[in-house]
Amino acid sequence: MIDLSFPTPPESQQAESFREQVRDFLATELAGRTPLQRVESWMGFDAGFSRRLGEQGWIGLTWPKQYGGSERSALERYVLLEELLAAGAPVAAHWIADRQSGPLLLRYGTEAQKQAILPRITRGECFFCIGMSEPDSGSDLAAARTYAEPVDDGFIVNGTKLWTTYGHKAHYMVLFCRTSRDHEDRHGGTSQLLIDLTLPGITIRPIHDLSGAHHFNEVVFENVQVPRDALIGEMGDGWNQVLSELAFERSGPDRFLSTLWVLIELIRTLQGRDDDQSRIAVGRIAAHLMSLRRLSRSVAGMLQRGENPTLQAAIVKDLGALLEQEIPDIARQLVDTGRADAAHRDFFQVLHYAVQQVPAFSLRGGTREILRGIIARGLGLR
Amino acid sequence: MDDSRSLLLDTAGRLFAELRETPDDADTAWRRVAELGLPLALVDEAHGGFDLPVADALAVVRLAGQYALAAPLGEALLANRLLAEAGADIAAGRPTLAVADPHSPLTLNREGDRWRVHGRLPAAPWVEHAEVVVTIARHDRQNRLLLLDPDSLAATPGTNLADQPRTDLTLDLDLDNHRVRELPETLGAEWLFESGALLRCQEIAGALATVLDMTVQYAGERVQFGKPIARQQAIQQQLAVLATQAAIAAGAADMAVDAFHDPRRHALIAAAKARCGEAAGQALAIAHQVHGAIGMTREYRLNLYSRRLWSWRDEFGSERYWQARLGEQVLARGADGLWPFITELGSSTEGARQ
Repeated sequence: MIDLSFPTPPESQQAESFREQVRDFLATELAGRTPLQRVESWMGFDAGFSRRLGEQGWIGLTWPKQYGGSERSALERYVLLEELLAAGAPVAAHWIADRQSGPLLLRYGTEAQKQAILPRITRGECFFCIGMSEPDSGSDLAAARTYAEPVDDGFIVNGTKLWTTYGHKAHYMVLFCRTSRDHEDRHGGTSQLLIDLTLPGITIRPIHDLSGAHHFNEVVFENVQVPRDALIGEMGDGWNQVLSELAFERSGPDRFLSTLWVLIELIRTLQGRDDDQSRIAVGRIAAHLMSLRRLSRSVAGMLQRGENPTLQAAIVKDLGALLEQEIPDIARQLVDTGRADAAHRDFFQVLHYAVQQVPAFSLRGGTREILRGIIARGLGLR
Repeated sequence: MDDSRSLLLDTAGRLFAELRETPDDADTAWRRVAELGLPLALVDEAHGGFDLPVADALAVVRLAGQYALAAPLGEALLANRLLAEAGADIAAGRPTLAVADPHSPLTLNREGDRWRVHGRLPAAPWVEHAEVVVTIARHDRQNRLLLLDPDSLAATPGTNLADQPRTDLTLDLDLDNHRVRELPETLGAEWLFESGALLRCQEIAGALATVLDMTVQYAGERVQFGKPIARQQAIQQQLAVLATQAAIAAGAADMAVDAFHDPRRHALIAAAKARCGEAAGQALAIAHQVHGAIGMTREYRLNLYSRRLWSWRDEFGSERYWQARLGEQVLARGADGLWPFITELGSSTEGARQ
């Protein structure tokens, strides 16, 4: 039999009481935040909020105390993340550092890197962006051309990174690049560098998304001198490292809760309507959410145990993107969007925001086709 | 997985694999399954059962779905459980269960020193093969298990799409006291309907695991354009989607199993059955597309699974039924109650997992 099993998700009373603590904090912290602000989900940027979260000890929640972490369980972290997302907290500033850059440094970074960076991340003072995609390298990550030429005292970096979310507000980038001129060795010739974005020769240009918002950037490196100690992990081991980074990126609640606020405002709009169509549609979404959340929490348990749930994470993200994308469509089946009703202004605002965002959900963090390719590999087909 | 669970599943799996060779021989399957004592898997030791954890006992039902077992093991497990709960003798051979439509429950009344029951039990499974049919009715704020003699019932036999016996029973009869037994407050007609849905979730999850296996294997063997079709990206992408549906059905069924003792089982089983039913439809569409014409034949094994799956998703509440029940609860909690509703259900209550 093909083994697609998702073990029973771990549970603890401690995590559930932590949930109450997080809810209390967010109720105060987010009072007055509008539904339109909340539906931004993990794209909402607020450095002040991230600092206050850091003061609670809630960034790098699972990390060792010596690096500013709180040494709490992966399960508590899962609870924290889903509560932040469900409340529509503006988490973008610290999100990438907390989700993948910090864990990457913890695993592969030098002692000096860990000491210099991780405590600042946990205080909500140090933000990261991802340096993977390039103009000619999207899904085919190994086609990256940005070249860090090894020289005596470090590297000289030339190249361009693209779609760099919040690159214009980040302090550091984890740069995936080539460190060998041998292009035959697509995987072995790559490394990861910790890039201080204030270095001379780095130009960050905005790319406005279709809604007019500025999240994306183009980051150009022109003869940027990077010190030798910026190397993360081993020279030439970039491919393996970046794959492990992606497992952190693909299974969390951020992969199915992006349009939760559309559903919340939809339910508000449906109040007082007593019809089967509403019940069936809302019940169907709830059934999907409950089932998917179970799988996602199961993956959190596997990560906690140090397992490598690449296949399971891809399954969660593929199903999650479908659900996130489907919610606005279902809402449009239930509410006549040709007749915007002033009484439901919040609903229409979150819906219109979401409609413009949902195409990205099956692109970011691995396209639908790439994920299905990973699943097919898990089935032994490739 | 601990040793007793894997021993049980290994033993059952070997038997089911052997019985797979005669998929239409329900009598043999019944007999062999009973010889192993499997219908007692949900019964405690005091009543002659094994005292297995619920999750282990129900894992056997998923396995039965996986092997397309010809006998209704799930129904027998649940019927025996109820007989034990009601302090009645466990049926040595073949018990089955029947449920009323949740919208039109049975009426049970006291008449003299006997009972009178009235109502309909539509599509009752395997009645003609059973020694006793159990169902649940309520009288004077007391749940009662009815032990019906199949030979005494007005029955219109039929089958589901998979040729599994499903009989419409019309009840208008007197019952002796020993056939009407008290049940605990938690075990009402609704509990039985939910538990039936839980059985179907397990069977769907098991059958989808096999459908995925068969389809991946077939795609690896079928050569077109000079190579196995599994090498085509278009097919690989479809098989990946099939795998996601098999996985989510298994996860949803796990959620239902964990809810067996949970006081909030209604919403959890509602979500599970709705999701499993939807997964069955989506997965089968792909399985048949990949198989091509051979999958449409009676001879090829896929139909054993597809006809069962198409039936099981309807039985004990279709997607539409459970979605509406769940949606009703979600809407009643209101917009700001949505997230608390989801998270409360995701954490088990004390003792819910025994």
